[in-house]
Amino acid sequence: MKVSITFYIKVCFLNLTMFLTSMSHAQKTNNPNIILSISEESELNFFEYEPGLKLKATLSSLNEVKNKFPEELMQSILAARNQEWINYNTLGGEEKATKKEQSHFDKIIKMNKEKNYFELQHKLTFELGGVLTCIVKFYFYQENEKLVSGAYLLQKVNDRWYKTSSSSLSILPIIVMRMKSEVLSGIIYGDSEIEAIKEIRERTTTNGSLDLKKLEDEFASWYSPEKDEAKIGAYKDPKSW
Amino acid sequence: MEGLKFSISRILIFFFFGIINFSLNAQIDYSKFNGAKAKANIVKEFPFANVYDYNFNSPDKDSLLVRQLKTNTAESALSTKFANEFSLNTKDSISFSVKLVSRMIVDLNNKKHYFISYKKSNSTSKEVIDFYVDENSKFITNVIASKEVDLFKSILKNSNAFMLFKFYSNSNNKKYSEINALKSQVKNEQDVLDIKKLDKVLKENKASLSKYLE
Repeated sequence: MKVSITFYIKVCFLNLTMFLTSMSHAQKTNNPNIILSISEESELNFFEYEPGLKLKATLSSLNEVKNKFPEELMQSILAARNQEWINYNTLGGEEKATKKEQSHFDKIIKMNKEKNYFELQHKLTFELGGVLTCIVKFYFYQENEKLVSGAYLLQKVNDRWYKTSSSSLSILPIIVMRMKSEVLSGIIYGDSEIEAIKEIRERTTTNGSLDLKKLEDEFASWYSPEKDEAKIGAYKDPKSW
Repeated sequence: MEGLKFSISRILIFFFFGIINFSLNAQIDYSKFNGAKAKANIVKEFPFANVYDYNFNSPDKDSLLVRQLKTNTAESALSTKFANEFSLNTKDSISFSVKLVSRMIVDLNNKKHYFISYKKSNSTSKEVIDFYVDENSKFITNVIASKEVDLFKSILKNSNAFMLFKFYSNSNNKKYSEINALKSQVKNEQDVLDIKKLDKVLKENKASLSKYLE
């Protein structure tokens, strides 16, 4: 295909325009976003830790970190003594990691390891878009501070676990953090003797598969349109926020 | 002497408990912390998705590649693929060009993926390529197939931003009756586009939807 010089000049102009437009798109896009989803059948595992399983900040350097298991990553998160270490624990590295001041790391280095630790409660493991994903519920004991409950979203990439903050799972980490272990277990496995939990299981299951969206709706119904204190009292872990 | 014995005893006790503590930690076998299996249906929303049709025959034209670009963009990365073909272009003669059609940016597992559909001047078929942005903010061609990557490639091959937004919209426009009729088949219970359903509908209705791709 041969074209005239006039066409070539036009093309050069197009290219310049494209160059500028592409540059602006690379940095920021003004085009409207679109919400997309995918529904997946996944195998799911729920594990309750032995009561009182403590993870302490016994690691003192990044060289000791393996992160081959979610529990090792939890320990690494607790012990991180510098920004490089936090970046190493985080999926997406430096770009996605929480930035901490040196004063934070000074506290970590000096803290009493016997009085500042994680106590693991339970974890939910499943595949999300082909990536092994785990939500770990824990209590964080701190010296001279009130106990804090939490749940971290972790993902395994290239044989190593990372902490992530993906918003694609909506309120599932909050559900895992707030629900009592025996309630979650009863809903997931259908092995509870309690009639009310059996009913939740029925409402949240389709063809023997737990529908996590329905579980979210069930959980949300305890709080809205009105707070159902009876259900919250029965199913929510009183130590969780 | 008594003081020395006392000190040695304390050191021995300290070491004894230290070893026990070390052994307890070493004994934890995390590989056994799994729990029983159950089945679940999980709906995942992609944290970021953006679709764009390149402009052709409009004042904001940005759709024709005729040479290798040197910027750090997905379009430049695509132009690099055709550096050899572009090298034959001269000031007087363009023998090869690439028309950019649509681009979809999606956050997949914490990586931004840029899917670009395009047509080469020596071919009539539409192709789709996937670039992801690495830790150094460079655009890298993704050669690893996955269920989600394959779905996004297939969707972009059989649609464009215009069509996707028509499917996305909750209101029906009479002018796009074919899309209106299929809307319910591409959304989940929460009225959000499901990429598996969308891909299936786009493939099964290629003929009736083709007019929206022109």
